[in-house]
Amino acid sequence: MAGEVRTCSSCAEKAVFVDRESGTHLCSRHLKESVETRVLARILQEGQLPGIIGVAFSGGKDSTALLAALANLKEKIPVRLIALTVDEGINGYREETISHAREVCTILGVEHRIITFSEIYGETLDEIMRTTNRKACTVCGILRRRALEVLAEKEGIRLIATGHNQDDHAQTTLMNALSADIKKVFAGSGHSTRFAHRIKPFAAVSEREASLYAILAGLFNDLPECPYAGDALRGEIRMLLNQFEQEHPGSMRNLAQAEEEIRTRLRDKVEITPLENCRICGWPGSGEICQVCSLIKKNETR
Amino acid sequence: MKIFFPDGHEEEISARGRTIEAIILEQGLNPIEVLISRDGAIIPEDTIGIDSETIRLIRISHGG
Ligand SMILES: [Zn+2]
Ligand SMILES: [Zn+2]
Repeated sequence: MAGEVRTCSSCAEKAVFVDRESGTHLCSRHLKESVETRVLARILQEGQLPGIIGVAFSGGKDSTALLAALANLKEKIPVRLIALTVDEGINGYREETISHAREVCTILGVEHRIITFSEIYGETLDEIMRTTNRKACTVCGILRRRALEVLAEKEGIRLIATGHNQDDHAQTTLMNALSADIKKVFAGSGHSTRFAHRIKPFAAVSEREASLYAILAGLFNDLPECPYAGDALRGEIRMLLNQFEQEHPGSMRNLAQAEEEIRTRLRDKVEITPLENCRICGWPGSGEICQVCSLIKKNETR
Repeated sequence: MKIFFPDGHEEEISARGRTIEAIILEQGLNPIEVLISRDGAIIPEDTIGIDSETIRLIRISHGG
């Protein structure tokens, strides 16, 4: 005899999810609907949409769920979707995840573009990591961000959706608050018209809901983990916040929302140092030489 | 009930009328970091565990 599963609060189907704060149960269809409603609301906040939305698509579960949600919303958001994948060149890890990414795009019928670190920087992440003592996540983050810009520019994409979810948002808020650089934290860095505008359609969707969405869409694969050690501080904060969320449901959402609220209120009140164009590559950045070029240049001097 | 953990090991744990959430917590895992699959379907963590059943815990690990 199978144990009794609670029924969806909105229909007679079996629940797959319980909202810990409200006690509401949702079936597969209503969970998907609930996620898509929040994604749609985020995107409509943008107002006039460009003809193409680029989706930063690593092939991991968050970006897979995001791509699936956007593909499912194509009648309500009638834009051309292009999935953008950066192949960092991580041996024994990226081959499988890239092939999963390809497969997902085929299933969803979404156009897919891939750019590699080798094409842009002349080296894979593995090769770059041999000549730097900076943390892999930091290096990769800086180079991946630029790679995405290069790919978007090539494709004429002015709007990029990323898979950051509510949990990521809450973690970043706490990490930034602990670093105490209030200016950086809540005002962000300078803007440039050369960068594509970025949106986070999953900002109000928890990591749990995003994963569940990917599973329910039949697109969740048990993929290998990145071999580089993750950001240790983020890992600790993640564990701490998850514990908090378990004991005090709603904490994660409150923290993510508080950050947004402060950001909105501080906008235009904090002076942001304008970006300069890098002397080497011409891309906007802080200082004469951008972060990307200082990374790559250090490698060359070795 | 039989539980397959995300790290691959399996264990027989007496449900004693508790929710799966309570059972997972007792094993030192945070229930919000896993999803629960039973017979290929995802079930909410407030489902009461039954000793004759098998569930599989899926870790929600981070990764873009
Ligand atoms: Zn329902
Ligand atoms: Zn540069």
